[in-house]
Amino acid sequence: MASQLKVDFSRESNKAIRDQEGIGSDYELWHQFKQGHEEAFITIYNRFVEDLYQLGHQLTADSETIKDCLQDFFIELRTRRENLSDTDNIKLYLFKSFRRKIFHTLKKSKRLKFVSDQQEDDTFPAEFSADEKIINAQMDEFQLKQLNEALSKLPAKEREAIYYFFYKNMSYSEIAALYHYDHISSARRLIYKSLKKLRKFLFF
Amino acid sequence: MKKKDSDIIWLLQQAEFKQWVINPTRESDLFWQKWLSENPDLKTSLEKARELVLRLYFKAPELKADEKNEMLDKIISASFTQPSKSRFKPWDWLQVAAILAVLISITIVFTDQKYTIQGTVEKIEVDYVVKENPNGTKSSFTLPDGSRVSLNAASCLRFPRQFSDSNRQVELKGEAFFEVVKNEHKPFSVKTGDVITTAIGTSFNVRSYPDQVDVNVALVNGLVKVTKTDHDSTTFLLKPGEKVRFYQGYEELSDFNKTMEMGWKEGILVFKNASFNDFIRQTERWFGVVYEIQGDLKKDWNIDGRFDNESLEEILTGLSFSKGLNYNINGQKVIIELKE
Repeated sequence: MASQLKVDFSRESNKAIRDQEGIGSDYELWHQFKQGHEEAFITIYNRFVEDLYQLGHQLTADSETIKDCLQDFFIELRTRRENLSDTDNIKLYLFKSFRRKIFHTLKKSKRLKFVSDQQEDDTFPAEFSADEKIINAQMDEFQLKQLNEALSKLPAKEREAIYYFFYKNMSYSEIAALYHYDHISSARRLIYKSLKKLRKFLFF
Repeated sequence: MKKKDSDIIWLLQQAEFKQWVINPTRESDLFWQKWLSENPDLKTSLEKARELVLRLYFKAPELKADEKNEMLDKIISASFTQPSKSRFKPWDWLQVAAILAVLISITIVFTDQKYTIQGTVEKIEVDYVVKENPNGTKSSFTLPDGSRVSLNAASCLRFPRQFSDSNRQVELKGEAFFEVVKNEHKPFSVKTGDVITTAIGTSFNVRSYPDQVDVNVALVNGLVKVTKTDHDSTTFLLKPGEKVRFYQGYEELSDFNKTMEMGWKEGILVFKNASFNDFIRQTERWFGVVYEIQGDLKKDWNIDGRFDNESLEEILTGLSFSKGLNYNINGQKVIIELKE
């Protein structure tokens, strides 16, 4: 019966109210910012500063460093605004350049352990939270614990891709752009690779 | 048939799938409903895949509203006081100039406010934007000046596409939470019936539903002025943590409970001394459902409770024990049967 198949899609998660629309298109807004419109800058700042702050927190727990970095980042954007390239995807533009900046800063201050060291890497600390209330929940605590262990063993780069794809709702092509991949299929492969490692914990 | 786990992985790889889970729309709801009716044996896989996306969590503290505003101030002033290449180092002078500018703008603010009280607001022809939420839908968006609004269900906000040079005025029916971008030259005000709330660099919550006679304004940080524009223009200056309620011709100033006033933003539904009718009205708005009540209410309710991101079903199950009722949820329609 059709009614039996009905899944309840009611508002059980406030993730759905994540940032949505704004005023005007990205291209237009960015253009206004470049021309010196203060309101355009403030709109951009307000819309993305929290996202960028949280991105920073995936790489270091040091809030002060992130705030300094973020402040410098926006000041630089403003001083170079006339020379910035055009974009119709402000979020991607900012993520890409802030990611670069924070990697660079942390590398300089040696607060970031690099993946190549093959040490325990605690960047992008992902988990499947047991707190989130889900209707028709299928996973039990034990299964979540196993999945979380598997997540923590993924290479940081894969957790990072998961962050963008599932948590920041970015597309494959946006992830490819972030990682400077030539082909979108490389981003697909990266997500697939990381999911495959979780596979054995998904049965039952 | 493929193994169950690869169905989950297949679903998770689909950009349309995660897009739907994170940001469902009417169209995608329909699409996945249809997909499910064509693949009934994949119901568990779909639910698991969906659960994984919803449970995914990356720890990060929030950037507080005042930290955000403070940083914005620093960014803007830093770009104005960029060290100049000039040999005369005019930097010190620029700083003095900046301080003067602030003092002057404060004076302007006071004059501005006085004009607002006297009602001499310039009327300029402007385009308006109207954001309206039906029952069961909440939204958040940015105003043309960069201020953030979280708009509750069954609420409506009307604002100009471009604010005028002298002020930023918006009109609200229902409930909204505002994080206002500081701008001393343009006071930000919210009009709700005959109550006007004016703010400068502030986060606050305003509630005034047409079916509730009262107007509530609660302040998180900054400073707001609340004016009732009746014959004697009663004015309140709110400090952080205070709220004012206009109710049947009198006003009441009090402290407030943050969850009670603003929990709705985080998906927390709160009841305080709620009667049966209060409960019905509030949940109709919250979940976008329509009730049919069967039977008579023997004794009115007086419930206190806090529901953190819970479904209507979970809430009604809880109440069915304590209040003796049966319920039946069928899509948007909910039948409540009050037992003898």
